[in-house]
Parts: sequence; structure tokens; C-alpha cells
Amino acid sequence: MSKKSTISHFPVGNGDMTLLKIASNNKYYYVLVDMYIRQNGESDDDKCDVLEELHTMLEKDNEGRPYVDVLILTHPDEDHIKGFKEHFYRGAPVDYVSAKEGGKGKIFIREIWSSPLIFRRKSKNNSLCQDAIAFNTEAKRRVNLYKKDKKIGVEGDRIRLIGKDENGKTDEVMAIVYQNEDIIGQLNEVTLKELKAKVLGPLPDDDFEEGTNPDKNRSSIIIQWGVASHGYTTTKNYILLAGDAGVEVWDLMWEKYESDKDKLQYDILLAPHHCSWHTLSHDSYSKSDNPQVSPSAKSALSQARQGAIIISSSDKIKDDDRDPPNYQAMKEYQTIVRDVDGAFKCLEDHKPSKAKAPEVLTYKLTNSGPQEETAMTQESNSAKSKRRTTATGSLFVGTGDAIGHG
Amino acid sequence: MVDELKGVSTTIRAAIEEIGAYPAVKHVGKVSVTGNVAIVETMWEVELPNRFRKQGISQTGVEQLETVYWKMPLDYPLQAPSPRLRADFPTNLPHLNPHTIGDLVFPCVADISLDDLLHSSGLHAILIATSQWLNNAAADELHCPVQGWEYVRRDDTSGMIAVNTYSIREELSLSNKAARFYNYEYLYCGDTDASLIGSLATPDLGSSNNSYRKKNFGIGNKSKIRCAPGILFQTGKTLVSDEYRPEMVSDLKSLRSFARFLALDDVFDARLKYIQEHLGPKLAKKKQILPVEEFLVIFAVQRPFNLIGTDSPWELLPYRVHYNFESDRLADDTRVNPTRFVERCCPQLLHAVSGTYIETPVKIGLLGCGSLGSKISLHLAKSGCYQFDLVDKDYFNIHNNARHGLVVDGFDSLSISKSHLLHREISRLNIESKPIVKDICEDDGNNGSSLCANAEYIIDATASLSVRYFLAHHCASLPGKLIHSILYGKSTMGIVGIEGTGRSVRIDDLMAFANTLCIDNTSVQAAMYGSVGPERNHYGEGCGSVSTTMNDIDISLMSTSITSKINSYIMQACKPEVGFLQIGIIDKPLLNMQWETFEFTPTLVIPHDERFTWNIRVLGSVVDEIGQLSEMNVSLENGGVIAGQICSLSRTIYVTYLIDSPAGSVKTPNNFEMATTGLANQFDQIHRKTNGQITFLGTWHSHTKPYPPSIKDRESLKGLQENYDLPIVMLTYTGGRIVRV
Repeated sequence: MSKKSTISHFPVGNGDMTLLKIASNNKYYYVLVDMYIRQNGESDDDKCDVLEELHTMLEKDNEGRPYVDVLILTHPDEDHIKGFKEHFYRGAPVDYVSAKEGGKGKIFIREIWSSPLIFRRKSKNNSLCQDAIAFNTEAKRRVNLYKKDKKIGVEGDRIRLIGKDENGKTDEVMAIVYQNEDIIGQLNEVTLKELKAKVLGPLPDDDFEEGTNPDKNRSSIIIQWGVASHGYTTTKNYILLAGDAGVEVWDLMWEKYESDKDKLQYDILLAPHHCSWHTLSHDSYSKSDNPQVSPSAKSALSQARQGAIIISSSDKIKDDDRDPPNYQAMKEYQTIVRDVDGAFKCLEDHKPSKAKAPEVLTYKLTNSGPQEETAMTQESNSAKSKRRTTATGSLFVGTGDAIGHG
Repeated sequence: MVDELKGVSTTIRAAIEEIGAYPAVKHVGKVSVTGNVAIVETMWEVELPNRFRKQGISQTGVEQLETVYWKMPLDYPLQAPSPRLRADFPTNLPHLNPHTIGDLVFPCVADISLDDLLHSSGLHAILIATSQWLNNAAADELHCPVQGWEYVRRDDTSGMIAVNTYSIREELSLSNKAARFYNYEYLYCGDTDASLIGSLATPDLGSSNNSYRKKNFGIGNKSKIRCAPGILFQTGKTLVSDEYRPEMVSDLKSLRSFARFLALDDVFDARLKYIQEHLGPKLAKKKQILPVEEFLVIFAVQRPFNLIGTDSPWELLPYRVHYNFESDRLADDTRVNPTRFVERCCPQLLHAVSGTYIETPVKIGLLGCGSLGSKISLHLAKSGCYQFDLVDKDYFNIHNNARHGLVVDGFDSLSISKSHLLHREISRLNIESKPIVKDICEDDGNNGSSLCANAEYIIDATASLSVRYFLAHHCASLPGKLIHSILYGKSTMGIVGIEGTGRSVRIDDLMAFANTLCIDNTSVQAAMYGSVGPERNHYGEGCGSVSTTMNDIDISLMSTSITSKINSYIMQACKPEVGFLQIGIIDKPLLNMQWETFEFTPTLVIPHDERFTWNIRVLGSVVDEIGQLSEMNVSLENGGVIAGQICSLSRTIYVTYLIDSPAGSVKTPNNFEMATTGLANQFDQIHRKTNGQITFLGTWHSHTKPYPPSIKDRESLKGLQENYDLPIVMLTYTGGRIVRV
């Protein structure tokens, strides 16, 4: 059974956590976009144990370290980086200490992709949680190493910055900066013929109206992930991940790409900012009598391909004034997917095994676009540990009796 | 429904229930028993890609709800159940088993047999595999470039033609020619032409049609083998055919239509016309020979990625075109049968199966084609990585069958040399080899052994002391590095000796060291000089040879390990310059095998001169040890006893072993006086353990200043020499080097 690329969305409530597993050259490359991992002891029956799920999906390297090839932090809000400090390894690769027997081991990050926000000083608009501070420290360690050595470091020391810093802090490291409209085909210094990741944001502050707040959401990394099926080069799957980018970003996006809409097309869209009304409207949903949708922002987010899925990585969406997730925003997204025979899904409602806790939603990225992996082919969590055989990959690897050679 | 079943076991009922409980199964329908099989009808939910969910059917024609019929053998779980799909399920998909129109479609859901999958991982694994297959079919994911392009499914082939497809594919990748011509031979081994067995010879005969005129096409008078044309049509280099479609050719019309699909119709028609006019029954009649019944057409189609199990994108589709003897013209309804290529054994196939790849085969000169040599060469040959010069002067005796790599019967083979017989066997693998029936020792060694002039490695598997002597002392140089392999102690010990680069360490050095090991290593001692050495055996009248009695099992066990050591050494990318001695010992009752490796830096050679007519060879390890002992205390002279082997035939002394100076020896800044207490006893034991091979050779001592050997040194040596028949050596370590006194 050959390897297939997948995208997995972890149900973390109002937060984002997405794992892209890209199959290339008969290997998997793991890209984790954001995380929201509750602290130990917080798990309960109606919450998905996303740390456990993540470890189940990742591989270990030759030194026994669970690893991701790339970790992307779209922006340093807690609901996108929680758990980093506790569960991810920071520091020089040689100092990694393996987990004790039975322990999980910290996840080793081969390469980080960060926005240049790491260079911003602490301010009213840039206060950071402990996990974000830890991320910043690690990212800066890697940038400084690059500045010192003037070359890409070893795995575990690598970093790429998405976008230029407004204050010139990235001027001397431009060789590791991906800029808007760059198409990235490399992960952790490995070129993948199946990958074409287009950088769409963060947009430079100059693009926004004067006097608007340069907040963290506005600085979210936005990437349109183009993924071809394993071994092919023609992109058949488009995934748009945009962190918490708000309405002003999408207004600008439409201004920029109205005549080049393909750059915004998607088969899967992670509804920005956990299905927030502020992604689609300049008006406050609760305070405004007649909040209006920004037509240009909605147009930018309407480039859905046939059968597209819009996913809300949020708490359950109820018919009330809450924001995010916002009920009316969901309605707007539903109008978008209705036109293309697609679907809107809230991760909190994804319970295919009818269990109390929501489950990870995974799509295979095929020659015919995304295809949901269901219990028919993917065993439930509890069954996984008991029977990890054919469903997990090769027919020859697993718990079955050994098939010998006669 | 299950409860209504009669005549099926409870095990099958449980299996049907398990199928019904599988998440993808929405409904279990009719269950019927036909013959030895129960058919279970199930409705199966397929996960369509998002974009086809609304329509309920994928672009590939797979429906959201598919009926899956499970054929459940009544002897389940001895045999596994297998899925079938509706008769009109799209058959233009890969990974389907051969199929007849109108029958249910049999998907190939696993790359091992379903029986093995069942017994390895249970029924659940088959259900998962089926679900994955259907989902992949729906998403157009059955083809995987990493796994390779699935060969066109050909449901009805006729005949079997042996061919070296690697060779053809190499030709195709080197140049793009619309048509190529090959010699096609075939015979019928049954009553009908479906029993055809054929062979396509490579390389191609050249692009000119004239090349066929030189061939004797037709049916020979004395042989059943027919000689007919084989034409290969290659699609244009820029044309990549990425449409998977099952075989549809059944007559000339459909073959021509396929040629048109491949944009080859012009060249196809032109060559067909030529064949009709020049190579068909008409010409045979003119030549008064029996005409052939058919010829071969092959389409080479370029796929978007490499075919499964190959490193080439060229798919070869062969067809047998049958002449119509009623008419000279090949009409549209001329019968055409898709036929099957079977791989002819060739180095590339052997590479693929054995998992070893090498661009240029390594040339081996094998000396000795006996039990050990035959097994070594056959093991190496089967990797596809080697070519051989096979040297042996002996002829095969019937008793050789007991342990030889070959099995030879028939009196006519008994007069054939071992090297020819081994060559014949290796040639069956299409591995190059050359038999040389010659006494190795008669070769003109001074010219660097002309026997295996191109060999990169010479493997001596003769176990002959005279051959070893010849290689050591009569071959000034060798074309390749010498590897010595030998078995001892009824195959309880195997030795692989590899000379150093430029013969800096020679095989005689290595074997002198092997003898020295007997002093301290009881296993080596037992194998070399225990009671299991060669003994004279007689096998029938006049059929005797010096040989050790042991069975094929034991000799195979060690010879396989020896071959593995040789192969590993040759295949390593960077070879060290040092020499090696590898010794493997089997603990017979437990069959534990231990290998130990010794490395050898260059041997110090002190050539003979008029005063001393023996050559002295001091092993690198001994040179190092003398240096270390001398440098331990540079203010005092040090010294000790040297021991080793003596070859009186070549007048060579091998210094392989040092013995500490006995207690009572005097060490001063200007003098070293050695006591002799206990030395006689020590050497008695050494002689016993080494069968007298390792003996007292003399002494060594150091000088604290870089002075040459003194008069006193010479007088001491003279005194020693007078007391012994064997040559006595005195070595002095002075000025950082060793010199002879």
C-alpha cells in the first residue's frame, strides 16, 4: 500500500491545530500548523486527546525523537501555540534528551516557519503568552544561529521567516525569508515535487489603511497549500490556511487577487479565526443592529472548488450572538459551499464513532481532490492500539503473523 | 439472513456476521451456496472524493453504494473469502484480476494472496483492504507513481515468450526508432497453437528491413523450432500514454486500431506490408521451405512513470499475428492473440530479485571449480553482479555430486571438465563466464598470470598448497587482488584471506599467521591440526582422491558464509589498503557461527643477499610490537625471541610471533643478554599445537643508539646458527627500523 498525503484537523475547541502529512518519494513529511494542546490533567471524556493523536500520527527519527519536519505558527496567540513549551523540544539538537521508557518524548522540530512578529517588541498589541514567548526564544535562537554561521543549520536549528519585517529586522537574513507570492516547494531543505505552497500573507502594514491596528491576527501567515497526489506533480488539492486573518485582510486579498482568483481557490478552507464574524464583516455582530458582510472579504473567501469543505475549528456553533464561533458567519460560509455542492463542518461536531469526544477529521489528498478518511478505512482511536495493521499503511508491517519466504 | 443458511459452518456464519458489522457495510443481502462456495451479497459504502459526493458517482465510475459479493469458500478459514464487484463495474481501472466480459469483476485488493492475508491478519484485514481499494478506485488513486505503472490487464493471453525485457528497454531508452526487428523463435508443445513457447532474441537485428533477409525464416526440416519475424513498434518519445485501458485486441483490425491510437499506424502498415511480401508464406513457398504460422508484433508504449518493478516507463505489449494460409493478404479478421512475455534470466533480473545493483559486473578469476569454488561462484553469479573466468584442470567425477554445486549425471558429462560444466550452469543465468581447463601452476606467473588477465579479483578456492605456493612465489604480480578461501576441520572453520593493496601483505603471510593462531586459539588449532584433516578416501574402482569426508550440508553452510564475506568485501565502496584474514568457526552442535577479522599493515620484507640466502617477511603487527617494546624504555636495550614459519621450498622465513625474553635476561644501555630458561618447553608446546609449522626463528633486540648490528651481534648469531639445522635470524631494532644482523 503506497503512502498517501493527508490533512488532519484536530478538534481543539476555539483554536487551531492542523497536521499536513505530505507523501513524497515514498516518505512522509510532517507539517504542523499551529497547536492548541491543553495541559496534562485537563483531558476528559468529552475532549479529544490531541497530544495522543498527534504522537500516534508522527514518526520517530533514527534517534527515537518524535518529529515534525516543519512547525508553522500563523500568529502568536495562545489558541494557536498552547502546549508548545511543554511538548516541543527547544534548544540545540545535540542536547535533546530522550524520553524515559514509556514516556512520549518532546517533539523535535526540524524547521520552524514563523512570521517576523518574533522581532516585535512587547506592546499593547503584542503581548505574548508563555508558550508564545518560548516559541519566540526558540525562533530567535535559530535566526541568530543563521546570522552567525551565514548558512542553513542542521535539522533542529533551521528556520524560515514568512514575510519581511517592517522595521528592517529581516534585512540581513533575506536568504531565509519567503515573501508574498513565493511558491514554496521545500520542507526542511527537501524539495517535494508534490508541493506548491503559495505565500499570500502576512500582508505588509503599508497595505492597510493608516491608523488601523497592526494586531497579531492581521499578521497571520496565510498559505494556499497546493498538494499533488503522491508521485504526481499536478496539483489536485488546494487548502487555504489563514490563522486569524480578519476582514481587513480579506478585503485587501480581494483587491489584490480579484483578477487572479485561482490564488485564493481551495478545496478545504479552515474558516479564519474559528468562524469569526470579524473575518467577514467590519461590524460588531453583538453591538450592531444590522451587521453587514463585507462583499469583498466574502468574495475572497468564496473561491471554493467543486465539493469544497469549509471547516470551523471552534467550539460548537450555537444560534446566539457569540463570536467566535459565530452562527451568522457559519450561515455565510454555508452559502459559499452550497453553490459548489460542498459542506461546512464544525470540528466540535465531528463524532463519527458516536463517542462523547469529537475526533480528528482527516482527508486524503488524492488525484480527485480531498477524500474523507472515515472509520471504514481508519480505525477508531481505541481500536488503533489493538489493531494497527493494513489500515495504517503496508500490509507487511503490523501485528499480523509473519509472512515468510519459501 | 445468516440464520436461514443451511449447510454452512458456524465459522462461516460468524464470518458473515463480521462482514456485516464492518463499518462500510450498510446491508447484508442474499446469501446463497453454489458448489463449494457461499456467495454473500453486501452493500458497501464508498467514500467518494468531496467533489463527487453530490452526484453519488466518481469520475472513475465508482458509485457511493457498491454491491460487493463475497465468495466464501465452504472450507473457510482454510481458504480466504474474496470480493467481487458488479459485472458492469468499470474495467478500465488497474489492479483488477483477469476478467471475462459478463462476469463479476474481481478486484486485486492486496499485494499478497488473500489466504496469506487472512492467516496473517484476519478477515478484518481483507475487509479493510477492500474498502481501501474501493476508495482508491473512486479517487483515481489505484495507480501510484511510487509503486509504478500497473501493466495492462490482459484477460486472455495465448502462449509464453521468453525475452530479456531489460535489454529491450535499454535499447528503447537509448534511441527512439519507430520499428525494430528481432529474431523470434517458437514451437508448439501441444496440439493447439495456444501451447506456444517462444523466445525473442536480443539485441535487435538493426533497423533495416534487409536484416531479415539474412535470417532463415521458416520451419526447419529437423527441428520443431520455427524462426519468424518479431517487430517492435515504439511510440514517439513525446507521446506519453497515461490512459489505462485493458487489452482489447483480438484481430488485425483491432491491432491496427490500437496502432492508430498510439500514432503508429503508418509505420505499422508499412512494416506489415513488407512482412506480407517478403517474409510470409509466399516467400517460404518460393524458397521451398515450410512457412511459419505466425509472427510477433510488439508495441512499446511510454507510460507517465516507471512500470511496477522496473526502472523504465516503457510497457511492452506483445501480440501473435497468425498467417492466413488461404490468402497472401493479412485481412482485417486475421487472428491476433495477445501473448505473454516471461522474463529470461539475466543479470538485471538477478539484481532486482537479489536486491543488489551494480552498473558494471565485477570480473572474477576463480581458481578451482570444486565443491567450494562451485558454490562460491554460483552464489556470486546469482546476484547478477559478477563475470567469471573459471579455471580448473580436473574433470568431473561421479562422486563429486556428493558435495559439488552442480548435479551432473549422464556418462556424456563425465568427460567434461569441471570448469566447462560450471560455465554451462552459470550461462543458464545469462551471466558471462569463460571456462579455462588448465593447470594453474603451469601458467607463466612471471608475466602476471595470463589465466585471468582481466580479473579484478582472483579467488583461490583450490585448497591446494602448491597453487598457494605458486601464487605467492611465482607470480610477480596478479591482474587483480587475491582472495584466498579454504575450509578446515570438516568445514567447521572457513578462512577468507584478502591480500593488501599491491600485495603489500601476501597470502603466504596471512596463512603463516593463521598457523600462528593455533598457539593460543583452541578452535583454530582443532580445525587445522585436530584429528579431522584430509584423509584418503576411495569411491569405487579407480576412483580415489585425497579428500576430507564431510557432507554437502556442512560444506554449504560454511561456503555460503565465505561467499558472503567475499561479496561484502568486493561490494564495499572504499576498500582499505590493508590485508585481512577472516576466520569463521562453527560450533557444530549448536550451529553458532563466529567470525573474527584480523587486519594486516604491510609486511616488512628483508630480501636475501649473498651472506644470508633466505628472504625474511616480518608481519606488520610484529614490526609494530618490536617498535613498541623498544621504545618503552629507550635507555635500555630490550629483546626477545622471534618465532614463525619457514618455507624451505621458497627459502622464506615468516616472522609472525614474539616471545618475551625469559627471566634472567640482562638489559643494559649497551647490551642485551637473553636467558633461555623454559624456552625449550615453550617451543615443544608450540610445535605440538602447530604441527611443527611455527618454530623458533631466532632473536631480536634493540639498540639505544642508531648503530648498526655490532660485531658482538654477529658472533652471537653465528653461535646460534651453529646449533640448529634451520636458518636462524637475528633482528635489530635500531634508528626506528628493523634490520637483519
